[in-house]
Amino acid sequence: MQDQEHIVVTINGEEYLAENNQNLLDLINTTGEFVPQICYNESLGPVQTCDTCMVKVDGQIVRACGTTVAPGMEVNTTIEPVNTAQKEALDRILEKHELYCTVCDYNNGTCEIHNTVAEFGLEHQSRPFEPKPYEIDNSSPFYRYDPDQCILCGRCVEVCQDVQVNETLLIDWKREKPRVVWDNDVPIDESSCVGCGQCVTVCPCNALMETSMVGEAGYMTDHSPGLLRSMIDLTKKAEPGYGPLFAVSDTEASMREERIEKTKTVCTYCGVGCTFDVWTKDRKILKVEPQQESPANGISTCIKGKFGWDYVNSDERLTKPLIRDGESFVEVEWDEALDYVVKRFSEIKKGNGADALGFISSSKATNEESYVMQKLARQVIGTNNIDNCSRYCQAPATKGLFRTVGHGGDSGSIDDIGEAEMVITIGSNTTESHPVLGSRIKRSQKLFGQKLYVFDLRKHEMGQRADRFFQPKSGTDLVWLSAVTKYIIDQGLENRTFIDKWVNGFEEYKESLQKFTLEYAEQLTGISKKELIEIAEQIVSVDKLAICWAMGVTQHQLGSDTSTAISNLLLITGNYMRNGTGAYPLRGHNNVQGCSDFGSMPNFFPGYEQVADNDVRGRYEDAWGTEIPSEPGKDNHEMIKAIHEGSLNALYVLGEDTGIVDANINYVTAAFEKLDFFVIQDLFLTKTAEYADVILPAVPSLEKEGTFTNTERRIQRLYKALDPVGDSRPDWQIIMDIANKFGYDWGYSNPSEIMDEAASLAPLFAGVSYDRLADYNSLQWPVNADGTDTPLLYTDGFPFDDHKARLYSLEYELKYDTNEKYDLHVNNGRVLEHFHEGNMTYKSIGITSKMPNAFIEVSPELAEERGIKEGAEVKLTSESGEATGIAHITDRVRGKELYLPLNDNGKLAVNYLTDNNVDKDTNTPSYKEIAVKMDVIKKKGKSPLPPNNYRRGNPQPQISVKVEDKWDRDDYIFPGSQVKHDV
Amino acid sequence: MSNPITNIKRMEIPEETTKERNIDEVSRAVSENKDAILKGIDLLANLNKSGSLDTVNALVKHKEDALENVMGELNKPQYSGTLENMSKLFLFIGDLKVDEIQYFADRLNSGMEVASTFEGSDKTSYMDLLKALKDPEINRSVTMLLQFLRGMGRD
Repeated sequence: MQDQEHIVVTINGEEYLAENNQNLLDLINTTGEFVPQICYNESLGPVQTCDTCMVKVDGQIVRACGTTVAPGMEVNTTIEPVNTAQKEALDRILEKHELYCTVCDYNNGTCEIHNTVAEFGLEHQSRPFEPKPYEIDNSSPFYRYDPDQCILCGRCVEVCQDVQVNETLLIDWKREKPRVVWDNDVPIDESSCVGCGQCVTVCPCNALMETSMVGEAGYMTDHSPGLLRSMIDLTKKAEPGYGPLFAVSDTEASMREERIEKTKTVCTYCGVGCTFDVWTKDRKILKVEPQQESPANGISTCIKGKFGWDYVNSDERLTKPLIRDGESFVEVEWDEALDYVVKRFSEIKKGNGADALGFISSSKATNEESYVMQKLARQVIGTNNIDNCSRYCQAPATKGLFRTVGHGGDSGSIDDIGEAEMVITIGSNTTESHPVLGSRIKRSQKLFGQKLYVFDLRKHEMGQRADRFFQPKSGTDLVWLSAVTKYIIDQGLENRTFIDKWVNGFEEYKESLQKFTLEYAEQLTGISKKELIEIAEQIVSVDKLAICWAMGVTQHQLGSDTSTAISNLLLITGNYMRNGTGAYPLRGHNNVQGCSDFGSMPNFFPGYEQVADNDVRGRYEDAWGTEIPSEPGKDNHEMIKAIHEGSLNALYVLGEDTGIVDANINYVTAAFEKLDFFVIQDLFLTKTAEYADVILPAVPSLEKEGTFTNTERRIQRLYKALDPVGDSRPDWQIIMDIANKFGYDWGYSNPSEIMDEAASLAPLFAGVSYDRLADYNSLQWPVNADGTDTPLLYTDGFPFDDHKARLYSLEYELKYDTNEKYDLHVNNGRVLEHFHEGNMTYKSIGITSKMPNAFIEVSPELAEERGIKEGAEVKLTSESGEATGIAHITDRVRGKELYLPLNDNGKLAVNYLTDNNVDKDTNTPSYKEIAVKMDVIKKKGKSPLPPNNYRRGNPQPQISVKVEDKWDRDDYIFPGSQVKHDV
Repeated sequence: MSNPITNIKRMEIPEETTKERNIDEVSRAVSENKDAILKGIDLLANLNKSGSLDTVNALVKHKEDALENVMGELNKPQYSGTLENMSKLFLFIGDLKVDEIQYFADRLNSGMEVASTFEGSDKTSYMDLLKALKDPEINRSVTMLLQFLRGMGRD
């Protein structure tokens, strides 16, 4: 009897154990047998275009990549005519691709055509190379396409259609000479291409290449096109067989390793936590290369991670410490700046007490830097006034999860979101805010039948793609969530077994839902009773539900409560503890999770242990040899308030443009003006830094070591790719220098020692060490002392005394609405191209050419009512302030709702409009609750969205590369059958 | 009480200081690599003595022009035969049986020696040819040539 899991397959006379339904080529690749393969890529699966992996299976010649193993299968990879068929396929490829490796920028040891031809041992080309009648497409600022080098393997199409799911690329198999086309055959720059660069990453050769690589990678590639052509011709004449050609080009490739460094790093933009190798030559960044083993992203990236690194080499980088002197900042040496900081901090502490100082950590900086910043506040200064920017975004989600399930993080991994049968997103513009994660959902929906329900005010891409899209009234998500939960319970459809075993407080919670009838929900949210019932029925019909949410939920006055309602719904339906289920608050910054994890919180030590807990505090007091106040400190919001009240006099802000990103910036910057002493640590002279007394020049992620923690609770290491610019220093080093000038002896010689200290004190990270995180290894917390980590939370129960989760009862009251005077609602958030206030992404010429400035989205109905057209200039006025900008008319918004990207630090900065209202439980500003009136300054003008923005493109959805169309061509002969004819 | 400002007064590092720092850095490197530097100087001196240094210098300065000229020239049709032959010739050499050719070449050489010293002008008649076959040296040569012709004609 065959065992169910495995079957036996014979390859070249040897028996091998294969998994059921395993791809034959996958199996062959594990045996050490060589079969040529060019279009096949493990991350993409078989595309079946290159025909090189011909093998004989039970007497028939077939493509190994297109064959699934079967019991007793007899496979031969070497006999004739298999070998001849493989050679025929390779010859066809070389008709399309000129081998001039020595003068090719892609000759870096990874060209799959080069390597396959070399390993196959092909010495001569049977048929000459045939140029294609197309020009190189150099239109995009990010990458270029050379049709003459393209072998039409279709990997780029596969990745664009089915991995990124942007559906821009296709191969037009109908033309005489097929080629890759963008949209309906337009230049790359004018297409719907979002610049994720994944097509370039998977291209097996130099057909698609980053423009930053062209003429830079090789020793002999930076010549004028004419000369390069002559060199290519000569190379071919002088190296007629592939043997000598490869000998020369392989030597040149290994010489390149002498000057091109490849360093693993972690992306410094959103919270997905993409990892990749960054290629540098001196200070030049040649390219970003994600790896198959990159835990969160695999081969994927977005425009910012792949192409958004120009800020690192910006001329605007600060290179020396600055001290305010009258109307100027003056460059000084480090000692002078740090002595001054220590002197002023000491004076203020002596005069007004330790709590007159405040510290703000950065979600851009590393875990180690968060740790030393809170240590500086607590050990050296003696205050718990330490917070970070998760206060602006994620604190409510964490709160909601603490109340119900006990850990403030995503329940599982991105793989779990991909595996869910149904995904609900609430208040998340996933494809623009978390692009790589958004693509996972799009892929599962497109290829694997995942149901996608999207709840958002605005019909962004996820809304357009959703199976069902709902637009509840702003701030009412808690109501529909509770009503759907109540309906499920009323119908007896709750997961009784799960609740009985794992959940406390059911009866009391059920009681609290009385108010949330379908009628009440319909009235408040605008979602009809019928739709609410359909939502409930869909939810209970699936076995695995994952809910993702973001700022559309948290940045409201009831942000924590709404997050709690999400978790309640998941508990009632048993959607925790298993793969493919759970709660996923999508963390916004690369290290917004880690910055809180490692203790930059007024009430928590690292690992979310209460400051007020005597045992915990005792542990830190013993380790640090000091007393720490037991009272939690002030959060960001309270610090600003305390400055206005005069009780906080000094502020030290690390890597945060608070004066742009905090709500109600008129109020915030007025507070800065009242400070006695203000220290900023940043790469640039930001808007906030303009108010500083001392500015300390820090370095970006590429210039230091450390770890970031992504939205999956995944801790990942970054390595130093470049030396710091000028006299700038890593944040951890600057903070340590300050501590040491205060007379402490922090002797960290490397961030790994900081991590070791944190791991020894915080049980959540007990087993975390740099050795365990080497290269692409990662750990998802909690991490036991023996190094076992937790990709999926709660598998053994919930982290409460009785291991049971808790349902949490909620009230609801509508807190915010527009009114007669301020009649328009301003929604706001991210766009794909830019990040946060834009300090990093606007430094990229390429990205800025795609989106030069922020704008105001206006619905067609409203535009008509106000008599304005595309490009009109309008002024928005709220209770707090005003902002002016250019209108973009689009049906992504409807009715009296406006949308304002938050990536502007000029006149259109959204936080001129926001006010001091906050989430009642966490003090997170309710950024999403702004009522404004709109005045028209100019009725029409130039569109703020340039013609080369992807939103103007015309995507061409299809599944994969449509290889059947290739096979249907009159001139196509299957290499296997051609061989038979010839023989 | 701080109003927002954007002006930065750069630290002016006197040229002297920069120069000093650079010299420091270089002399440190020199001291750490004394042997290599001295050998390097020796190499430079020799190149200079032979005049090669000027040539190399000029060539590096005009690298792009030089490359363009060379490439342009080599890509002319008249060279393409030579270039292709070069590599074919290379492979051909590998096929040759040098020991045997050497034996043959020796014979050829002594034949040429005799031939070149021959000064007579009489014609050789048919009978002379038959008589000559009796000469053991000539007979050996003819036999060898016949064997060669047999081998050359073999399939």
